[in-house]
Amino acid sequence: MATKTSTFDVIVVGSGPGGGIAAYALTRAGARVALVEAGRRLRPGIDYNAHGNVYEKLEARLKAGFTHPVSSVWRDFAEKDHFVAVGDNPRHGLLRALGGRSLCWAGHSLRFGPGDFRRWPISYEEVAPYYERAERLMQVHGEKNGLWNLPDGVFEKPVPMRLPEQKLKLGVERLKARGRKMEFVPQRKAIPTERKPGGRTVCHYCGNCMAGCEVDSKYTSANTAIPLALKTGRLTVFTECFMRRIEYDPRSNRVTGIEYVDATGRSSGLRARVLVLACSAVETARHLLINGLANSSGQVGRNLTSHFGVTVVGEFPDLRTRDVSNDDGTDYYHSLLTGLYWDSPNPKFEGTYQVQCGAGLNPRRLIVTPAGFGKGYVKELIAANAAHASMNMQGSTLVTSQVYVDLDPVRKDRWGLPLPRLHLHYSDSDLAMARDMVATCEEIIRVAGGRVLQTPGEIRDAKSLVIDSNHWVGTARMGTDPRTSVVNTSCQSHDIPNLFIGDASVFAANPEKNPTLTNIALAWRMSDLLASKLKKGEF
Amino acid sequence: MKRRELFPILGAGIAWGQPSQTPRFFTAEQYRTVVAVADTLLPDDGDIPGAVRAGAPWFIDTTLFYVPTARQAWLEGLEAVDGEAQREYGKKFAELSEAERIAVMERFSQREDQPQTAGEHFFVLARRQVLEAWLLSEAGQRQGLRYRGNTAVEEFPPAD
Ligand SMILES: Cc1cc2nc3c(=O)[nH]c(=O)nc-3n(C[C@H](O)[C@H](O)[C@H](O)COP(=O)(O)OP(=O)(O)OC[C@H]3O[C@@H](n4cnc5c(N)ncnc54)[C@H](O)[C@@H]3O)c2cc1C
Ligand code: SF4
Repeated sequence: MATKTSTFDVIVVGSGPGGGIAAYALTRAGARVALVEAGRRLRPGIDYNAHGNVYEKLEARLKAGFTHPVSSVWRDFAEKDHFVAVGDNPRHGLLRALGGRSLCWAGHSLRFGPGDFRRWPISYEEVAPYYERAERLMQVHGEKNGLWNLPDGVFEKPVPMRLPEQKLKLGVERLKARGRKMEFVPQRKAIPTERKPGGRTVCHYCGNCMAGCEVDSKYTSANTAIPLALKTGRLTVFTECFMRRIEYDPRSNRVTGIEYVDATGRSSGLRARVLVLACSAVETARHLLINGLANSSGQVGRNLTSHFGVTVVGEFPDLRTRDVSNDDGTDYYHSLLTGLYWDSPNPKFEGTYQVQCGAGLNPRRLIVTPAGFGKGYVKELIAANAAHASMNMQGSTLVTSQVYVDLDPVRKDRWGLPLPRLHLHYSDSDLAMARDMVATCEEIIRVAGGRVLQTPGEIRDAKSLVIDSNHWVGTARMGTDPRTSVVNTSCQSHDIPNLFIGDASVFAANPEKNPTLTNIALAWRMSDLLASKLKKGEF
Repeated sequence: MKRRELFPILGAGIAWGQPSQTPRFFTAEQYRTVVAVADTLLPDDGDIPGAVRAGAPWFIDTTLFYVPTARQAWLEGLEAVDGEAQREYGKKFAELSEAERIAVMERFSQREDQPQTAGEHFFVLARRQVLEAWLLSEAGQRQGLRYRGNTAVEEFPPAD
């Protein structure tokens, strides 16, 4: 039971990319905000630091109970046993920490295009100004490519492609010359490459992004949005506080606050005029289902989709002798195959895919392990990795009634709440897309003069597909019809006017592009709309 | 860093940041086999320091001392290696000549894509862990890969 109660304009639950930006935009607009985060603050360089001599740190790490020799915020701290998997091996990533998964994301930041928003109730033009603000704050680097459905943004200078990636580009150019529709562009990431007054530190190409950026170059909500929100003096951060219950008053049909449990196990209450949930797509759906709120449409937990894919690795023999001594770069992927089936869909499947491409030799991330042993082995290892390019495909799983989140009837988390259960069953369309991905990537490698080193080969069933555990979206989708959607175009619950959603649950449809930049742009837009309602005295 | 003679049969070993070279998980006898296996899989090669010089046996022993996951597989693997050496040459693996050790490992590495026997499974495990230890070592990174990264600096404006 609640023992003490404080009152705010807005409670934001979850401090990942979505919740972090909501706290930032709302406090700057004058609102007093409580940011409630289940995890603790993980300190760059202290709680995670993949740099330095692994041997010198080994003993201390193992003694502390970590099982992997190299520090990684993702591997070391990601939640375990926090969901139940049903069907084709769904996985679900969750990092309970201030900043959520922005601590370990790779930073890939791609705008959805006008074609993607055709399936949304809002247009590209409505979101574009927020993309621009987000890119400035996040310091996204990239190249302007003039592609209609991957719009250019405000970019810092791009990071060059490594030589094997340039080979893939050559392959794409050759196929384009034969009339094929595809594009090959440098990656766009929320990692500064230019010194800016007030900007974050410039990336030093250590390639550790997903282990955590210890110099706080890569954008996280913990290193940018939240500190800036704190500067306004209007933000109160509650770390290690898990929202266990949403307080709802049926008479007024308003949420009135939350009950949370702190690190000592004590529960307390917070009250506010407005509640923003940004717990991530799976967790937000779980809490709405547990509390039985905002679900008159029956759509909470439905329309679940993520990206799935396979990986094809190629080798370019003439690059075996190139110098690889320092091309870790900004994590692994420096390039992107895109522009597939934007204009003319493939009749064999719905939607499309993109392919993240990477290369390089990083001792902490070996891609090619040659066969054999003994003298000459290391030389072969260097040559094979110098010459490799890897193509990691990412297509959106088809939305069907077979893919959704509900509550497990038996298993509970450590706070006594039912675990979310993820149901994943690939459709024939997904399998057809995977076949096309493999064929296209193999073709690009060959046309570029390379040979295919690793491939899943013929895709017969879902076993060869890998789901992206971190791109789940759609569980509280946006729409204009309260009967078929959960939130309106302001990310406001159709059912409960003072309940808003600030994460990717609200995605109305999921294109092939990574979700987080759009999640941030939407949460920012939601916050602006919400702030103007607050100023008008609504709620 | 301390330098001392490890096992004369294998030449000099570099002890990496650790107080002593005494194994804590393996027995001295087992450790002798581990060192011989590491040296066979990744030997010194011209300028490139091998797994033993890089400190891989210490790394593996320390990891197994704290993390139980692969313990059983290592112990069974060492038995398989010594068993094979005994059958073929009537000696322990660590007592074999370089050519004999290579011959044993060659037999175990025949089907590395689809290992069947205990020895074949061990080859896959040992190569993976010896290689990982080598890749993470200062010697492997600096002299082996001639890698210049892995240092946190505050700013690193990339060269235009
Ligand atoms: C290794 C990795 C690489 C990635 N790379 C990319 C990429 O390149 N591009 C991209 O677009 N995306 C990427 N992602 C995905 C991206 O990180 C997620 O899409 C994004 O973090 C989702 O944001 P979110 O705010 O919805 O949720 P999260 O980041 O998951 O944050 C949710 C937060 O809410 C908190 N929370 C949940 N429930 C409660 C509760 N009841 N009470 C209190 N707090 C609660 C959690 O503790 C967590 O901190 C990557 C993810 C990973 C793991
Ligand atoms: S590559 Fe750049 S952004 Fe990534 S962890 Fe290293 S310094 Fe940070």
